[in-house]
Amino acid sequence: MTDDHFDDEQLEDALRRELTSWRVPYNSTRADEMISAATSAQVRRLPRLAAPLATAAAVLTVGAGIAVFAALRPVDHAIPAGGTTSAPPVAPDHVVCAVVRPLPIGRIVVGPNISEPPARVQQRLVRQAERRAHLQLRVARREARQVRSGTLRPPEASVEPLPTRVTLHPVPVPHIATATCAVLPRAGCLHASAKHICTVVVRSASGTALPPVTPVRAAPSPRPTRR
Amino acid sequence: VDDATVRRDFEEFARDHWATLMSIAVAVSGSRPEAEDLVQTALTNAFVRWRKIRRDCALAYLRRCILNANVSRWRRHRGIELSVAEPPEPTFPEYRRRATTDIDERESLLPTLRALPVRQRAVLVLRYLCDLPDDEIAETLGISVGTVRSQACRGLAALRAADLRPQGVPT
Repeated sequence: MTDDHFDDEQLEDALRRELTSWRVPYNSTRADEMISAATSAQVRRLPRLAAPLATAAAVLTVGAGIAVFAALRPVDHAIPAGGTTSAPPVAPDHVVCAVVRPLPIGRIVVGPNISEPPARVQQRLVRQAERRAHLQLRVARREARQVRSGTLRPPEASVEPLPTRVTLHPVPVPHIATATCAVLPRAGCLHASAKHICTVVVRSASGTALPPVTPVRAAPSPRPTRR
Repeated sequence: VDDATVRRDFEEFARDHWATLMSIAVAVSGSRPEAEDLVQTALTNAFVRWRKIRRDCALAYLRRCILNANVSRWRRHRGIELSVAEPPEPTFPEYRRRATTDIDERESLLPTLRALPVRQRAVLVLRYLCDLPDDEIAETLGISVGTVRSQACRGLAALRAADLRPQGVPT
């Protein structure tokens, strides 16, 4: 005995006695049932390469099916009228803007959300207006300090107030012949990001016809006048 | 050799060693139903290859089949919660709390042995139930003799660590 525990010999004896007590007595009925079940099972050993070959055949079959399905699938993004390239398929949340050919104003077709700018664009415009108002206030305070210190002559006339809201004006459509393609996150982004709106054909992912909308863009912000 | 002779030979061998195989299976699995499943799997696998199995190695082959099937069963069922009708064997703290003062009156070593890793349990069963030498255990399990000794040492240490105190020693 070592310390307060059994030593190895005692433990081994106890373990041997314990395991021996677990010995299962022979049960002829149960043994015959198990042996007959083992011998009656029509199990034949498969070749060693059976499982890998079956797996490879299954993978090839599925791959061939996918390839055939992709080859026979009809193209759902047809080339627009007068266009040269087809718009790539995109997620339903996106629209595709493809410049195909110079066309007169009014042929611009945009996505379904173009009639009302998305909330994200509106929030951005509001933030821009707030930044301009804050900048105007800072300029006014600085000029007031300079006037008090005598370094700046006071203004004679009132400064034209900055707009608190950005107004949107129609933009003429120039002729751009280069064919480009861009994926916009939302249809409303076309207002703020496109500087030169031209013959743009915007198609939804489903390819449905969309109503024409006049393109607009944000008006240039006036700079505060200083003297 | 015709099929009838092979079948008769296999049935005779299986009847002779059925109790031994069941004892090993009960020791490594811890329950009678699981042991019967292990033995049934081993017998089925052995009968399919019975023509190629040497008679002097047949028992070792079946032992190896049972131990491999037990490992496969452990891999298949680990992490799966099994519902039982009655509470299983006491856990280690309860087991220690219920430890009596006499080794002969102690509760079974079954819960402690079942808590050991599969290989340590197999080594202890083959050594103390089948009384196999270390080299034969190593051949059965497909490991080295040194690994057998280290696994047995760790298994015994784990059993000792279960705080099985002899008579007169306060718990």
